[in-house]
Amino acid sequence: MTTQIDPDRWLAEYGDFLYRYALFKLGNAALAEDLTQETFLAALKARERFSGRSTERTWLTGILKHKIVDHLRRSGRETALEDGLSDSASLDAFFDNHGHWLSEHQAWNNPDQSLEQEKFWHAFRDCIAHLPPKLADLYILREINGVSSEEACKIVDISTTNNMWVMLSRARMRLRRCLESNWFAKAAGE
Amino acid sequence: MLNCKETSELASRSLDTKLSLHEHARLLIHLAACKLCRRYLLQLRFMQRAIAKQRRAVSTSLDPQLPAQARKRIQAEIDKHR
Ligand SMILES: [Zn+2]
Repeated sequence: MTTQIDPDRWLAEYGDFLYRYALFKLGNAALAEDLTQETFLAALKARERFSGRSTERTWLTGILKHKIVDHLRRSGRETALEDGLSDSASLDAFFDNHGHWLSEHQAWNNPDQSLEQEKFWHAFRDCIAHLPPKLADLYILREINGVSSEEACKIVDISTTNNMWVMLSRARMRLRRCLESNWFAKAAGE
Repeated sequence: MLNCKETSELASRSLDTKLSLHEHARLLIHLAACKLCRRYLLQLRFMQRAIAKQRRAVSTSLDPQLPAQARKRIQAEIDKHR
């Protein structure tokens, strides 16, 4: 089976998908629109190089990912390339040597009420955008765009499903803490 | 018995895939004895539920879909560059 490139369907099939990925990664709608457009145009130019080894969607997402990295680099937001499995991304900051929690997190009061509040979503998005880059990529693809483990590993360049689980766990650990300090702790103090 | 760090990883994985019976049992045993890990799992589940809900929430100012205007503009650009 050969994979055909069909730009007529691109926007309808992948527009929201790519936009959403960029939106959550960058936290900026206008920028997300621009990079989505740039991705399609770059893909048109590079269409001969599409090998058909990945799906069209995986290929397009890979292009967008590079565009985002370039943008973050230019704007000075991205520094060292973080692979999401290194020590700096580990869970060590959350546990002592025996694997016990270092700090006692509090119960969240009525969390479902927060879902109705726009400010909560801004806090949530902000926390996602500030995850280490690779963890953010993975979290967005899996939890927001709902891609399979296989596709997520391909796009984010993760070698095994096991590593993916480890990285998701680290992403959630950080998100949880960020949401707590940026939202729930504040709400409790009001 | 699992420690809290190991439990947190297992708790997270339980959101992604079905744990083996053995893993599931070990998770439950730890959770039964540990309030902080129970809380942690509840909060992870809440976050996953929240995100899933947002995916469906269209037509708010937080719409996670490509706006119609942008869509038009991008289609025009694609057509121009084909
Ligand atoms: Zn525990």
